[in-house]
Amino acid sequence: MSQHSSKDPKKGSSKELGSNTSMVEQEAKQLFVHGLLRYRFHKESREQREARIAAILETIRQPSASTPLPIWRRIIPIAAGLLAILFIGRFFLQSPNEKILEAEILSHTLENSRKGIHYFEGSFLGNRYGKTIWRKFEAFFGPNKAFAIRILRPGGSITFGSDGNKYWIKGRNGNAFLLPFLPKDGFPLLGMGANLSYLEVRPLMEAVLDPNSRPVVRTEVGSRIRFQGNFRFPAFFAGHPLRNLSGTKGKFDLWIQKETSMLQSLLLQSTTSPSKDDPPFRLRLIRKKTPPIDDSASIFSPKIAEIPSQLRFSLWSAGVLRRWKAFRDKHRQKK
Amino acid sequence: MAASHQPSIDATELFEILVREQESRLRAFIGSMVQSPEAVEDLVQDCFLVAWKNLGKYDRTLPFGPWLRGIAKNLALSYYRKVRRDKHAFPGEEIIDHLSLLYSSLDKAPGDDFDAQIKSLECCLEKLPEHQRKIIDLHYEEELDTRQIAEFLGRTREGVKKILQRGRSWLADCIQQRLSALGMEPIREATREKG
Repeated sequence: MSQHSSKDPKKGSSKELGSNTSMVEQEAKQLFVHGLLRYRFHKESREQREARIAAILETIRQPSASTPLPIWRRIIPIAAGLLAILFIGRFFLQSPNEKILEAEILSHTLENSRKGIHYFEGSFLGNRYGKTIWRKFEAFFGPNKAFAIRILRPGGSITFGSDGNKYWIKGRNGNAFLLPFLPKDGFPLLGMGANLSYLEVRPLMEAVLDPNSRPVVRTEVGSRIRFQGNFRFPAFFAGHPLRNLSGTKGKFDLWIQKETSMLQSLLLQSTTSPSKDDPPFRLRLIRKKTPPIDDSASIFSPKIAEIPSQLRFSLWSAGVLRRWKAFRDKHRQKK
Repeated sequence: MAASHQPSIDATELFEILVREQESRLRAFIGSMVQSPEAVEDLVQDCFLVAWKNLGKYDRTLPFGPWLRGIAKNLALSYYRKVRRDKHAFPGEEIIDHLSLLYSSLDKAPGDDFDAQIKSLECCLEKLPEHQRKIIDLHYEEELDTRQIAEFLGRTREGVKKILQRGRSWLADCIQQRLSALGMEPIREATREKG
């Protein structure tokens, strides 16, 4: 369930509203809808819900839930736990190959992670020349650096992807075209092997870590590890797709599954504006259960349509015209 | 004539059925009162545990949901006493009692489970004016706070709070109207039941 830190529905309510029935009703209505909306927008998958119900039932089935255990039975597990911690701690302190061991485990999990198709849901929120841009997308990552990012729009989705060799884009009408002009190093996240395990994401995060800020905070929360820190994008060269984000600073929040080292969620929230015209942006990526896929080739290698040379020229001209207009508008706004 | 065979079911199995039936609505109810997702998680679990331990005190002639919500209210109250944060104060018992009545009205809505019973919310969201819908989506789906929404949309924070409040009120009225149209007088029925 989401965390909504600045909730207004019940701020200071108890003192002021105690005797006023209609205000009590209003306040209760606010909380009612607030709870339903939180539930509706953060509904869990059936598996997650089952796991939670199983945990509840496990708790009530334990004998301690109905009858308190005798003291000796409560002390033994605690003592055993303490001994285990001491033993394991000693083992790791003495082990000279701790890092090798960690690397081996990670490589093993990475090998496993390369199997199958990984599915994420994401959103991007930002501004462009004063207009809010809010895009939701789905991302599929497959073997051999294949990926497909489907940007969901009311009129139909636009998909951008690669089979590992060529980049393509598929429009609302379902026709896919090759993108021969995409700079190879344009998207660092995609170029590094897009299975999004920790081993793959870590170098990227290290590359953008802000050297002048506090170090990354690592915390363990149940079966997950959380990394929080500050980032600062490098200065991207002119013509780079991310050039508008050069030098942007912000915070990242990364959750990794401990057992598999797979990325569970990623949040990038800029704290400084990339430019005067582009206020802060926010990018969010959350791993979800991969939907049933009949044919992975249809996702990563759609049938590519041939672009007639006249249309190619028209597209190129339209692109030049659009860039010129954007450049003109930007300078007009500055004036 | 042979007596019909009644399948035997023990208390744990019966309680499991109740957990499955009530878990989602209890989660939503606690989510109405408590902001931290971790605390909601813990309180749902604690609530079922307390209910299990006190099952002997439960009056079987009354519905289970309101009894469970009563436990949840007390647990939330103790939680707020422990955390003592000024920003998120306990809403007040009177408000929570009324909130519980609103949830009781959903118990009677048609549908096999809670997801089906809150179908009216889905329908009402579709009808919500676009500017309110956008802010509701940013707040609940994108988990942005009012300051961040104000920043992104170029509005004042107070303005965003007002729109959120109006949106929620509009949705509450819409849900109640839909329940009434289905032949239920949400609060009145729930109050009668309580009485």
